[in-house]
Amino acid sequence: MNIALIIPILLPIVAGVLIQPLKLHDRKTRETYVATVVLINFAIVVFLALTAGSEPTTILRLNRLIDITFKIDGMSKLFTVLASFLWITATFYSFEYIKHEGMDERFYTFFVVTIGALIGIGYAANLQTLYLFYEMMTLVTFPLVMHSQTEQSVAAGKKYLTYSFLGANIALAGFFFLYQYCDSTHFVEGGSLNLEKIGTNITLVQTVVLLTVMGFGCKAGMFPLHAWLPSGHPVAPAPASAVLSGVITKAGVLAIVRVMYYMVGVDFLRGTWVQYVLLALTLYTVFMGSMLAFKEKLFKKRLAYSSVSQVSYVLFGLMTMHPLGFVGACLHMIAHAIVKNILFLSAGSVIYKTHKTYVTQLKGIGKEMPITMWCFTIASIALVGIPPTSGFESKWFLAIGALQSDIGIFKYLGPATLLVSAFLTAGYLLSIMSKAFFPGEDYPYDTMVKTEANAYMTIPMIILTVLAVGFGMFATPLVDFFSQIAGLIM
Amino acid sequence: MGIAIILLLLVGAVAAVACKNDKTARLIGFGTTFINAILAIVMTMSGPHETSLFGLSINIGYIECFMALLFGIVGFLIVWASMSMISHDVEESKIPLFYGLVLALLGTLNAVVFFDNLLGVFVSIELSSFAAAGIVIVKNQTENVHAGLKYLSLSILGSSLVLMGMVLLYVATGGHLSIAEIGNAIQNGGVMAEKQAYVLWAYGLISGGVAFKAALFPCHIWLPDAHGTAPSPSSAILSSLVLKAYIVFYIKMVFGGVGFDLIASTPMRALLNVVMVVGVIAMIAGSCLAIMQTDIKRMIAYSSVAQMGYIFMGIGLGTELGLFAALFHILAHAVTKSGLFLVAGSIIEQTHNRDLSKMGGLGILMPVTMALFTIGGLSMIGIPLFVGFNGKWNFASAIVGSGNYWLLIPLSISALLNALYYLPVVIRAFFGQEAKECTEPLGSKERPIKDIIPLILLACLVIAFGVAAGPVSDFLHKGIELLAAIGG
Repeated sequence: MNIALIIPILLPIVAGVLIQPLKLHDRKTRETYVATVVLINFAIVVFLALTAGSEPTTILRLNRLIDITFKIDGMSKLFTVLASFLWITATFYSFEYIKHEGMDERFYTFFVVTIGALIGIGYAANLQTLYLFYEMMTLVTFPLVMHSQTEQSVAAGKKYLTYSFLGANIALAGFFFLYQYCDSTHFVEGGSLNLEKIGTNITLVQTVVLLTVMGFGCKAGMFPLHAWLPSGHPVAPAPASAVLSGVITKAGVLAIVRVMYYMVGVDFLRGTWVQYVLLALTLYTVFMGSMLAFKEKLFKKRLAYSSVSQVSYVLFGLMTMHPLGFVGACLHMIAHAIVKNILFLSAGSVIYKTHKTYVTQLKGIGKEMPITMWCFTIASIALVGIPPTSGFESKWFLAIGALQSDIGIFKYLGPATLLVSAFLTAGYLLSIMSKAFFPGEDYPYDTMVKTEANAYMTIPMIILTVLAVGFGMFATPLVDFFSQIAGLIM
Repeated sequence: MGIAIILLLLVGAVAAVACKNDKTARLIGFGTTFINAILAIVMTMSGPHETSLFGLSINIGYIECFMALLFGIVGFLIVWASMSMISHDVEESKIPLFYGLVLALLGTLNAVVFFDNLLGVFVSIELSSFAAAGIVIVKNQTENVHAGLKYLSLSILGSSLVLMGMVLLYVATGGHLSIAEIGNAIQNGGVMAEKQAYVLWAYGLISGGVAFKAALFPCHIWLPDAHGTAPSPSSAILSSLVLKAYIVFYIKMVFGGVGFDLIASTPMRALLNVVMVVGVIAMIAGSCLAIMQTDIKRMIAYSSVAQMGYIFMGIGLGTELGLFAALFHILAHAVTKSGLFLVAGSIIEQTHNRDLSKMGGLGILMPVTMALFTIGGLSMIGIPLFVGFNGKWNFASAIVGSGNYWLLIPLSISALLNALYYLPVVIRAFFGQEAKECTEPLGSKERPIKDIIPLILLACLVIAFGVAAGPVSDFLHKGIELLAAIGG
């Protein structure tokens, strides 16, 4: 029993819900309140990650079969620390950004509650608990998507809800089915599927596993349930887009890890048609996402397509079912989360300061907003995967993992697709950078005005940029940590 | 104790009609249902017992106690809510009649559930049909009269089918009229083997009759009119309580009469398969029809059609888990749907608008009411921590337990469909463009808080049974054991 596990879940939920009743109308008070909550929450999450044992804690029984149980393991630590840290940077950034959106109190209510739901997903020790917080996350993030309340954003929010419910319901139905074949209702390293109980139903069980993964893949933007992402992420206010793309897609990844590695067990899937289908789906998503991003002219939408592609890098790593691929997936989870935060935050700054939303309008923006665009550039380099940044490290492991695993044609097709996609990534991100810094002869240098965003916006970006590079250079402890997890579950 | 409940409500009904004063009638309604709720609690605590009324046997088991509690507590909350709402729908002179009918209806519903003797059951079913049609017609407008007559005619058709089924059983079992005795004859007396055709026809007719009375698709055609046009408290009673009494009667007939063992081994299985498949069709069709509605009350009414489908699917599984899921869903649907109808009534009363497309910005005008609507909607979709999720979970585990895995697919689709008609209302109310442009102050059209206390209590029940369904689940399991034993 470790009842402390519910603190970082309940604290933000309660604190968020209280924002309206406490009538924090004064901007400064409200900002102090929100900042205190996310900082304390981060401290608690880190403290728990360092000290908490791995015993499960049941806090509530809904009925005989449904218990709400939490537990901290390696994946929980990775996900919760990452999420609660990125929440801090996005929160500070939002203090400035939200000024031009309005309805601050409602924004912060849902923004703060969301981190509680995310920590809940991270600590969930069984699928019931995970599903509870997964649905909760959907329900508290759709107001963020719809925040501007325009026709377009409401439509995007509805699309988001429909896809999310569809995905989550498929996954839940799959879980009901798999549940009877598992020895344990909790997540167990390596899974607890009982082959004897399955008997001759193997194909059926495999199909259901595939559907369950695809259902959770919805949140991670995996083809074929990805279509909500490019419409949902860009319409949200920039700090919300940043965490939607950077963190919340990873909740889908975490759910897939839980199903594949902690419920079913990859031994059951390795070498079967399910693995090949999943590999094909993720690679297709990688390629399709970067192609669409390449074509897209709307700045934030391009970044959203980029997320579709990049999150499927992570999923590809998981689908190799090889320890190195798994390590690569975990590293890329961190790399993409940080980088995508920077990219969306810098896009947000550009929109906030200049109201330019199309990439074609961004000529010379690097001269006007140098800090923002430098962060953008370094993040782009990291996402492309140029050493020594974090993206290089993760893609290296992804490629090695694919090459070393026994997955037939995908052994070569995988790394090749990742490579092509990296070129496309360079194409769609660095082209922005080059126009921003090298606007050409006809750029009116004399009339240019410096419009750099203020410290609330730039400092979070700078911190994240340092991390995006730093993780690449000092990743060894993380690699060890992830290898340790991989060793336990494979 | 069971007799006391029935008599109390009937006496209350007479008193309400006799008093001719709308204020007194309200108080009589409130007081009687309050005492009824307490009596139901006392009866539940004192446990199962047998008794008789006019020589007709009454058998109170745990399921009967469960239903009495449901009628008692949910009925009390609806009547409480109706005290401030009813004058919007019903003219002052008709208010005593309204309360008289409501109390008579609750009394006869209790009687439907309590009686073990089929004659008693049948008389109660007929009386309850008239009272139920009465609380639709009491609004006294053309559309209500039409809806009420449609309801009454189809209801009588249903009762006649049930009656024919009962007669067949009477003949087949050699003159038994009590469910326990019929069960004994069928299960131990060899009636099932010797007169299988009789028994199957009897149950076929009873299933058909109950399908009309409990609005199982496609026999639901009266429901959207009746529930959609009735005064909102009436709609709440009709959907959350009235439908359920007939379902519980059906459950007692099937599982007390034939029993789980014979269901599994005889052609009863095929009959229940039909019920199950029709239930699944109802789940999907009800939701699809609900999506197409523009009137808030008709939408909620079609949602009831879908939810009845869930319950019949659970019964049709023919297993203990399926029955448990069905019984639990009776509770889940009762607390959720009564709240939703009362919320819809509040919206209509305050804004004089029933059109869903004109409900933009309601979240600003009536934040508490719309929050209650959101809770109800989330429960219907099956979001964890709300009672509907436990219902969905029970159905899923019953499905997996029975091996009919394909049913998981309609179950998931249905949850999604529910989301497709409940959430747009919430979104339009809180997040639509109208909500942004709404200039009126927050909560300016909210009803006084003392009038929405019963609605809030219903929402609390939705959450309470969502987070702690353990005790009521155990109670229902005990009830199922007892029911399975009455004929065996």
